Amino acid sequence: MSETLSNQMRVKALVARIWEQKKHLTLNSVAAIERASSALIAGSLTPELRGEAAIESHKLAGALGTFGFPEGSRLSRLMEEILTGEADLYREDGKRLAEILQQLRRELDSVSSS
Amino acid sequence: MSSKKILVVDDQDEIREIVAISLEQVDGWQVVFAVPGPEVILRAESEQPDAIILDANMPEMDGPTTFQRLRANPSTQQIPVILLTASVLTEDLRRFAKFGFAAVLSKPFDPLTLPAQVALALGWQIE
Repeated sequence: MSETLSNQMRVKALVARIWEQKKHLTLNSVAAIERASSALIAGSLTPELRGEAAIESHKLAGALGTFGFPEGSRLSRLMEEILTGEADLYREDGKRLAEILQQLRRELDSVSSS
Repeated sequence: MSSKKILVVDDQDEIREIVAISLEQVDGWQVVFAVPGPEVILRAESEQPDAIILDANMPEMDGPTTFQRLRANPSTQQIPVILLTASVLTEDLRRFAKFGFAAVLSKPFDPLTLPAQVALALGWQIE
């Protein structure tokens, strides 16, 4: 095996290990967005909850692809687009967030269990 | 292979660790960390790194503000700074382009190719 290939495998293994150690942080971020989505559907979303969810979706968008979940980054970017900005959000936006969150959970579960 | 010291600043633990793993693939590259905020300037003063990799979006002090503080300090103003950003907004990217970063790199990044991107941005040679 070439040195480069061996090095790449080592880096991938270390990244996978960090994912296992730190994935609870990702799941915390997902949970924060889920709280915002549920509150939006219930008509009780506060600016603080929205702001927190926007920050968490931005973090996920920037991180998941690095861990080998490019689709996770794409989905997180969609949520960030909904949550960021000053425009009013409606129940339909909450439902859309819930759908994206479901896809994101599936994505993370499918790779974790593969 | 010449030795290089790189100061990495990111508020996300997991990203800091991956940046370190990625950059330390290169023989002679050493990564040191600083807590986001005023400590970055102190750490840069004491470590005198060859480059700084700075996250754009940090709660304590964001990347552009940190960069301006580094530029205002005579002992850190010459250190090249690379900004890492998860933003895809044109207005953000235009704003970052005006600061004078050595490069603005996108998140998510590929840990296997990050060293080459950094080397290219800084004119460093890697094998």
